[in-house]
Amino acid sequence: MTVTLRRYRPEDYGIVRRWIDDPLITGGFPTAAPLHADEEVRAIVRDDRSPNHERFAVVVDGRIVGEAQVRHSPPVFPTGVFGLGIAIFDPADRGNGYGREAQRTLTDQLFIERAARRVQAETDPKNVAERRVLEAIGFTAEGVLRRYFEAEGDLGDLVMYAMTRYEWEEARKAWNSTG
Amino acid sequence: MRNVSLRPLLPGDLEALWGARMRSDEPWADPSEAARRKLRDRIANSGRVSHGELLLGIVSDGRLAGEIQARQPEMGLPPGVFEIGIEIFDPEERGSGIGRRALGLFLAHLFDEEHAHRVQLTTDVDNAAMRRVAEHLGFELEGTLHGFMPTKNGPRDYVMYGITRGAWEAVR
Repeated sequence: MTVTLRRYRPEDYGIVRRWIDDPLITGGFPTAAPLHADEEVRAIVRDDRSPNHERFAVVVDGRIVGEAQVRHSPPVFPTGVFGLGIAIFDPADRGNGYGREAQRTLTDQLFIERAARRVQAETDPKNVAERRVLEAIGFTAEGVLRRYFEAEGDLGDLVMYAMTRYEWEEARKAWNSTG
Repeated sequence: MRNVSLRPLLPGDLEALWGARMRSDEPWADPSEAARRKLRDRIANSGRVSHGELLLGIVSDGRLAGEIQARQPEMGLPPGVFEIGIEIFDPEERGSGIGRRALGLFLAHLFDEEHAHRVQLTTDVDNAAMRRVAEHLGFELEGTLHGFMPTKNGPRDYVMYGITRGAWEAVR
């Protein structure tokens, strides 16, 4: 299994249109936007860059299985601080480690290529699978932001996970020494 | 007790805000002409939510004493969630109660007029004055953001404080 990340292309329109507003993936997503018009989906797959928000297709053996996102809106995210998000589209594709590999790859890229000092990821405290993945990669839970986003007609909490550059360097040493 | 109020910034306030930035030794104090133009644009939009920000001036006894902002950058925070930043220009006036009263007025505005359901602020773990003000107003400490803020002495830990609409209505 090889999990890779790449920019969207116009031919990805169908799969992005199929999943972008599906409650299976938008439920619990902290920045769940109003439903996307077809034109917005076309802009996404044309890879029109928004300065503070990037999307990457998560590709397994040539097939798109989900989307990874990077956010860095200043000043809520100071220089060197990035937010990570992940969605695996089809429930049948979950539990295979795709999300873990995608998030690990993206975390490495942010520290290596983007001079990240801190990478953070926010998730629903009840999302045990995602919490386990973040902890396996080396993220630490820092606190719970209460009543943060709309979920199921109510306001849900968010748990803040983060990894500092120092923690990432230590984790990499450990991965390398264990092969 | 000083009389503290909030008002939209005016073009004539530019020098006061620019001067405070240039006296600051923080790494985000940017002396470029582009930064000055950007500040002028922010002042022009003061008083309404624009480009993910609501910016107001803090007036104490008739004089502009500082600025306060609520940030809501697109894709940065969900609808109804705002993050506050506050700056009192004169270091001598910090701890005088101006900031506390300004923050109280601003919270009321965000919950009453801007449909906030949660307001958050972050500050350096060692900023005891800011932390006291936040706790006095009903904010709760939610966690420590490790290595969050770049400074000239390296990254600093920040604490996250949040206040929900329910908590605000209870303390008010």
